[in-house]
Amino acid sequence: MKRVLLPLLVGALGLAATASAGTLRYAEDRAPGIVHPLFTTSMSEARANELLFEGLFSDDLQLRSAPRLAESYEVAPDRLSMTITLRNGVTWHDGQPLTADDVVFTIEAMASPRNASTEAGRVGWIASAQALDTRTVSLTFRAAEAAPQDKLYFKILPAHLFEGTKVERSGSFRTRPVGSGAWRLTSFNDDASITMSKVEGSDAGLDEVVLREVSDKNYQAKLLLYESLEALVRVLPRDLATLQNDRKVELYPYQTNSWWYLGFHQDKPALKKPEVRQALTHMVDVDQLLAPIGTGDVLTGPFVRSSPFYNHDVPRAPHDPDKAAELLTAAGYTFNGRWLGPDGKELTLRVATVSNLETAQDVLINLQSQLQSRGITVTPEFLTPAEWKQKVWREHDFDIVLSQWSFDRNEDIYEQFHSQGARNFLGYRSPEVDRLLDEARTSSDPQEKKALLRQVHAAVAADHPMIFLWTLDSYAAMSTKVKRVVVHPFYFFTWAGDWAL
Amino acid sequence: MTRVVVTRGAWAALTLLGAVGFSFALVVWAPGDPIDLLPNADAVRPTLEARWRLDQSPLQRMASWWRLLLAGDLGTSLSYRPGAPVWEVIRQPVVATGLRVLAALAVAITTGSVLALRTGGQRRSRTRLLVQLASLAPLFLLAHGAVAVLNEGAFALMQAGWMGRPGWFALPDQASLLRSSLAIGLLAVGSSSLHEVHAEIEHAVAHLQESPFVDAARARGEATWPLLLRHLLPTACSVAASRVGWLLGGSVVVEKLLLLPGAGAVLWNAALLRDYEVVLGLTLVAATAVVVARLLADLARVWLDPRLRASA
Amino acid sequence: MTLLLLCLACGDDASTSQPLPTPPAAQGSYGWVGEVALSPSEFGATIAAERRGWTALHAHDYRTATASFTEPTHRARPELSMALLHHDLALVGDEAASRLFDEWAERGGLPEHGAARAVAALAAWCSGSDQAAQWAAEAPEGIVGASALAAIAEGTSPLEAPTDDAIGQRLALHVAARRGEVETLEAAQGLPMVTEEAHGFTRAFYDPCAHHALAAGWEARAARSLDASSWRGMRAWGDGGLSGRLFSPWLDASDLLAEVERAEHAGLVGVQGERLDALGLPLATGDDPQLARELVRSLDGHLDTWRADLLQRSNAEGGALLNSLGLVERFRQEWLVVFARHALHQGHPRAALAVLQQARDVGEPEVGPANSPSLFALTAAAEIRSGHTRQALDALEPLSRSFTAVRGVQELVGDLAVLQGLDRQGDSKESQ
Repeated sequence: MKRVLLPLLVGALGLAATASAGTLRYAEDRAPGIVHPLFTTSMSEARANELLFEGLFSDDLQLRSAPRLAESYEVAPDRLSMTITLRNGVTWHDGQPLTADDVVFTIEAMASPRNASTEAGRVGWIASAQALDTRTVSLTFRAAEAAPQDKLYFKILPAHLFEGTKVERSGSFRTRPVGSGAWRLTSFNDDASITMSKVEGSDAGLDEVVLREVSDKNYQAKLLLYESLEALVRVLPRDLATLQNDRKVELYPYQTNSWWYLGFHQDKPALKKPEVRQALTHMVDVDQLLAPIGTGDVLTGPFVRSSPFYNHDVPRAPHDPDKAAELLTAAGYTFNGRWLGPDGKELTLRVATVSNLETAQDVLINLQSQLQSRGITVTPEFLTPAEWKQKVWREHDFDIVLSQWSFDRNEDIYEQFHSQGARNFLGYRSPEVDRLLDEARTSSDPQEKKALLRQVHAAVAADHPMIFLWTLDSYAAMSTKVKRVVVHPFYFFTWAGDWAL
Repeated sequence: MTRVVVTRGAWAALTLLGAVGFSFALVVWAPGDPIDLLPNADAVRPTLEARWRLDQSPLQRMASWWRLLLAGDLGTSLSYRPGAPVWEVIRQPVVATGLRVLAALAVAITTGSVLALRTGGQRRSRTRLLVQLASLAPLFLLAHGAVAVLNEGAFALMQAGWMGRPGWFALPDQASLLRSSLAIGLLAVGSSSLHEVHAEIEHAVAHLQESPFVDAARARGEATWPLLLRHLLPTACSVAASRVGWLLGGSVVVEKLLLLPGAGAVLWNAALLRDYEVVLGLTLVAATAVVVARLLADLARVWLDPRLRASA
Repeated sequence: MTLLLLCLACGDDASTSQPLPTPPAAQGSYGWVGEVALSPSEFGATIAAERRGWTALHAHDYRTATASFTEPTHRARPELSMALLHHDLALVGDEAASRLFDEWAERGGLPEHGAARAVAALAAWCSGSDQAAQWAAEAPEGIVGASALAAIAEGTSPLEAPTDDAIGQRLALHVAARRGEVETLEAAQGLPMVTEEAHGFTRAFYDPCAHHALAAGWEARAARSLDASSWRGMRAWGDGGLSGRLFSPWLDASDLLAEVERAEHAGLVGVQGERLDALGLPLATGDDPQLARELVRSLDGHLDTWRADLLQRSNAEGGALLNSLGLVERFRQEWLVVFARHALHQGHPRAALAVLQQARDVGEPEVGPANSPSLFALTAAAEIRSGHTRQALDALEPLSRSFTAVRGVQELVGDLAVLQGLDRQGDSKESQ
């Protein structure tokens, strides 16, 4: 009996081997539904694409553009066209050579409205693409381009696997993607994990990269400590201390120019009045909102504190409930236990946030109780990303939003604050700020640009279109077993070819 | 009996139709669609709406969905696994979850019945208290706690060198008996199935213990358990049927927390991605399961209970 | 059997990545860290007279420490630390200034009129670049700082050419600072050296050479406190007492004395200690960040055993001191900072950066007991040298909160970051 039981027990306990030595396992909140550079919708897909595909250019370690599939390039003196010579001997995962036709095909497929690619906007500036020979591509632009190579990071696809320029989500490429990167996709597994194996002949140091779906970020940190994962793309602030103290884990800081904010809908009757917005700025205790969720800097304007554009002369609006009460009264509101508007109705604000913003729920609940205790009712709304796009971006159906903006190294806030900005869903309009932003965009003098944007900071702070909250310190975490790690702040795996296990 | 089968069958079919129709209505009239999630939604909306037939009226969409369904096609996934046939996406997860749910059901019924037979008729019972307490905790809490205890315990043992790294630990690469058993156990207990079975059967047992024919059998010196069993079967069936829905709901939680592949995880992700084709496919399967379970339970009751059979 | 044993013995060869165990003789004495933990009463006696000063030094609050210490040899500690901080900031400023003006000129658009070229010449002069004369020659006639420029063009020091204009006045402060009167220059560094009205905005140039002068000034102060002619007077701290080594990168007096003689400058003292040599740390990292990380891990492995040993052997008071003051962590950080400075000095910015990232306590965002100001300054220097201009600003930000004098360097690096980002349209995303 024991002879049967013991093996059964052992089998049940499943004493199996761990993953093979050269495997890097990392976690995503949600596994990609499709690994296809033309139809990328989420960051987890972008990260997977980074492993499997390559673009003409990519970031070098100084975060400046460097040739990747391109070997060399030349921009015409009038800056209306460029010629790119491709690297010799690059092959696709199926062995076919990568040629200029593939580049032309990719650009045309991205631009084709029939394909409804999510990346169509990335090639809108290219007027035409031509293959001059197997290794040379000529691009012409719609307008003069100062640094076209910065915009050529999109991934190149193999023309020979498609008919013409027709690319469909339902095609076989979906399950068997073919790229030119150092790894190729071996399997989409049942448990939503993805296995990618090193291409033969590649000198990458990771034999295998496995993506696992683990929706709980807290559990992701635990798994890293259990050595069930080797990499975490982003660590929650509250897990930092535990991970820092673990000798088998190393933290890598992200340089993200990102900040949280409470944005006011500029056209809502209550929030139209500057006194009300100012009152809310004095009423909210920002430090108290930040304390439970992590460490970071509290801001006074639309830049992170270390930004050259940050105006350190703009004072922080003090947390002053009495001043807030004064301002509300001046705006025509009365207080009898709750704040009542000029129409006699209770002041109620709907605050929306998106559910996949970590810790936003905690902040919103906290905010609700803060304002509730001061006599303002807050109705929190936790929206899914789809609802967010619908309600906030298209319908502008909110009073206040709690959200975060992330900027790349250029910290360009035009889209958020210019009246013509494509991301200005708050409806902020200031001719002064418009003028400053227009001038800053075209300035070629760094000190002038710096001065202009600092003025923008001051102007925006004075208008109170939002309560600027904070930046959070952000880190990735990796097992110390992984060597030579440098993490790209946006795509994570850009330099994974150098990593080794 | 045939009349019963036909009538109940017809009602079941109608219920199913109604349930699926209702789900369809919910999905169609809910605000937003999968296109919203795309970064350049506005630019691609005209093309995709036409291709995915989202620009048709709800009734048209319902009609074409039914048409496809009758032809055996559950549709194509839009955003969860773009381009994949829904049946291909949900087939394996449905089987996995289905087996798990059936196992949980079996565990709940057998354990619940055995316990109930022991405690039925007793005024105070420790076992009853335990079962009630166990069912108080919400499923996600139970599952979370079980996973945490198991992992932390194993990790501590591993650190101390007492155990090698088990295959089921933390983030398993393949299926394992322990994990599946844990899932089944949690489902059975956490979804209150065990408790419900126990309570219902206990009640029936108590009632039966005092019934005249059982007394008569006891007086005759015959064993009472075959009688009890026979009379308990109908109750067990109806309780089982009523729990299927709860178990399906519970499996979403258990699968997410134990990181097991299954219909629950698929439903969760597909819903977040607004992939209504997949969501409807899963809803159809779930509704069918529930309706069929109830139908079978109903028919079983009629068949088993001579009084009902006679009146049918 | 003997043969077998012999073979086993000679077959064992320690690779450089495997840390050697601490030799038994050294075991049990861990320099000042061990002395404080194992003799808390001696520690109490050492700090009793100047508790405020020592508390400030522990918190890396050099200003309060210099004001609180009355004993000159004690006061020299924070004074020299200030000198090193300014030396580290000078590294940042030199690199940023040279890149800024070179790249700006190359790109076109360097203001023709005004002080730009004068400031460039000044920056080149104090960083020791051979471009100084060229910049001075290119400067237009009659601009601010003309006489300073003339001196630079001739190859002499502009500090000897006093003038009344903005640049000249600032240079006069340099002269005073180098003598040890640092306060005025430190305060002035928070403000621009030259401002000019350009089209629609005020152009500001900050002093690129202040940190060199301040470093020299604080060093002079420290030397005076040590009653010596230069920083090498710090050998006085090696007189065997605890106060010369407390919270420092040199564990034993012998470490300090050996290095003072041969180190190139004060900031490199402490990188090679006998005790650490005995640990067999893989110090030859070159510019490889991976090797640098492995060095830190190797050190951490040893420090873990030290901590455990000390906790076991110390009494309640000693153990409390070990934990609350973070003695082992403090030594770790001080030594890693010196190592990073050494790596930068040798032209290994990537290794320096990797070490500094490990040295930083991510739970504490500010300068304080857990993070020294030099840590941030050196991180900024390493980032700039690695080409990460924008990241250098991230490193300077926490420092600027306690030292307004950092403003000048921040503006300089900021100008460079903006210059490098011109013509590029930025992208933004909502929460990821």
